[in-house]
Amino acid sequence: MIEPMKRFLLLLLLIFFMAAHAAEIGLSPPRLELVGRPGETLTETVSILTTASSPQQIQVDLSDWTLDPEGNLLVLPPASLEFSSAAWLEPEAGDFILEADSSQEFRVSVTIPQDAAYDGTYQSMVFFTVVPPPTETQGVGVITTTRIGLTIYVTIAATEQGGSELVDFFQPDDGNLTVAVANTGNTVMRLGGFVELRDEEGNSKYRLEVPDVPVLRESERELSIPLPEGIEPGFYVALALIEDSRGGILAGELPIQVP
Amino acid sequence: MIARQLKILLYKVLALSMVLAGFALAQSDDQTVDIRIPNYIGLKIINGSGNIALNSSVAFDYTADVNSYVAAVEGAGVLEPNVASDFEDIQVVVRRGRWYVFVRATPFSYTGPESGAGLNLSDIRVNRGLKSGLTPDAITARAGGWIRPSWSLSNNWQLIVSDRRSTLGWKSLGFNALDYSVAVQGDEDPGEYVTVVTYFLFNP
Repeated sequence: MIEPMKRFLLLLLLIFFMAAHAAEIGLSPPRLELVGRPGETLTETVSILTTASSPQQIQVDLSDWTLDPEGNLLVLPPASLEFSSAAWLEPEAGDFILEADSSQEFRVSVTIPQDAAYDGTYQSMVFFTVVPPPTETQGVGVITTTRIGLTIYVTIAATEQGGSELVDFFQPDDGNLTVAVANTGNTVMRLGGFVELRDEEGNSKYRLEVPDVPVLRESERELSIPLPEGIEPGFYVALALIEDSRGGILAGELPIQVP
Repeated sequence: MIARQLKILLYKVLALSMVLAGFALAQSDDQTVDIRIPNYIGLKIINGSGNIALNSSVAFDYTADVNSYVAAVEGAGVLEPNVASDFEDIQVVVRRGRWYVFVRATPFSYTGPESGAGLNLSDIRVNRGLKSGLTPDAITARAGGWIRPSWSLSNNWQLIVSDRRSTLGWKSLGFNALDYSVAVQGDEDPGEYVTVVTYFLFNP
């Protein structure tokens, strides 16, 4: 009599666990920008968030990443890139249960090697993936789930070298402008600022925001800046004033014709 | 005598001034208003009730509907999902900065009597909004937003959406389970093919 009851309870448990998964994950903040000295261990805490009504199992993985000049992401195995910090990272757990409707703190420690050869910024990523439940799918099944990436930049203190250039500024087509920026320094820099469109009399007509994007160390980045919809046809002078997060200003001027 | 009285008067005026000044200072005491806005990102799949999906999936189960499979092979060569799923929409929230959503699928795990030949990941296609009618308008209506209108599943990360600013709350990526389809040629080994599709949000 006991055996059938046990089996029934086991079945109930199995059904519960199969249902106790959801597909939502949030992260705050989405990136860490750490500065430390060789041999130092830095520990930071981020919040993993969900509004799901049931607990979710979260898998934690490390990865390398980089951006090509067009800004496309390349995800690579951990510690495979020259400027990877993945080998220095120690997440507090390899996986964990994110409770329903909660914000859970998660610690990541970074130990910078005691090696004077390291300088500037190194980057890596921590993936948080909702583990999908087992399924009884018949036929062809696509199980969908969600993942989020915590970007980690680690800069070795007192080794930073700045430097940036506006290497190109052009109009690739009627609807866009492109600026190409080179980061000649050894730290990550973020861009800001604007491109102003002035008419023939020099009056400011439009102000286009330069997106907040990273330019990795010793790399180039092309940024496409769409012209405003409904822009009046005519001649303009585009004046780029691009801010480098390390304090520099890059300026460029381009006469353009909008048909 | 007059000088002494003047001195006393001055002290009184000074004392009164100090009291008034103290009162005035007390009345203009500073108060700091500290507002901190968090930086955060999020990605979610929701069900038909608008709640977080518990088991989001897309299923093409034609084991009990062989005629439809045969008709598809002889006709358009396309099957649509035929099992209710928990995937009504996929939404994103980003506070600031350029962001990207990528998709990747694991190789098929096959269960059946044969080797699982004849069906490839790339046979599964997503045409954004084609059947669901969902749109990513909230993202693409603004300059700088970009979407891939359709894609086939792949084991490599594929960029499907990017934008360069805050989403201003949760916004639809413009597709759901109904927008999936699978191409069939009739040479697929019978059995079950399962892949896990991961949507990945990145805000570097």
